[in-house]
Amino acid sequence: MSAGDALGDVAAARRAVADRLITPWWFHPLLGVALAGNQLAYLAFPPPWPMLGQALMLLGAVGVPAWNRRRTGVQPAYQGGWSRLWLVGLIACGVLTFVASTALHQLSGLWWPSVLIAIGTVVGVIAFGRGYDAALRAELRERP
Amino acid sequence: MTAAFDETIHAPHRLRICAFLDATASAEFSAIRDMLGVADSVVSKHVKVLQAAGYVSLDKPTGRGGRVRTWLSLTPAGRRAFAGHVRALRELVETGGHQEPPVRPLLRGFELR
Repeated sequence: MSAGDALGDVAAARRAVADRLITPWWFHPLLGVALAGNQLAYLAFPPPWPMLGQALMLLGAVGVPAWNRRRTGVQPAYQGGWSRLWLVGLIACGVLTFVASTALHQLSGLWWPSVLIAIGTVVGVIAFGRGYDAALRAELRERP
Repeated sequence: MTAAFDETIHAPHRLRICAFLDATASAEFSAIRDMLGVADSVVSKHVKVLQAAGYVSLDKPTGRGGRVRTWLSLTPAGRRAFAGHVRALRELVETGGHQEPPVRPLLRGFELR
């Protein structure tokens, strides 16, 4: 086997990993709704109910990827390229919208800004989550 | 990272196994078998060689219903060796076109396919 053929085999194996990394279509919408629901629950209900919701969300955030790992047979590795920016965006989206929602509600006492932010959270989580998946697959396919 | 041609890795199936594992944190045995399109026994044979070289580690957590799934991952030594091997292949391509890599003639007939 020539060196060129060997490098072709390496690239084919990386593409095979990328092809296997398929997140279920409902994962990011569900994560977004769970985050948004928790933001609103934090404002609407007294402790400890919001914490119960957060615990359930954390269980889902750990359990669903573990289930997907068993389903696909692959545990993805962080590639350290620009896909990381999408992941940072996803985390920032969750944290910043939570802070903004809480602050606006406490300052103004209004609900509608928090509801708008919750909708934005769902959209942001879907966009950043799917962006991360696509970037990770592209890095796997394109990295020499 | 220095370029170092590694004959243990260079056998076609083992090269693809290492490339697959290098792109993941870990992968299940069946995923590797599907990627190679060969029988379990063939994958096992190559994994044993990589394991003996200290390049691959195995984990066998018991799944639902007592079913054991084997998960494979590259060890740090395996990742270093694979990276060095790929670098050596690139150097070969850049300097000598599509020349044959330096496989020792005595071993050529005994290479696992």
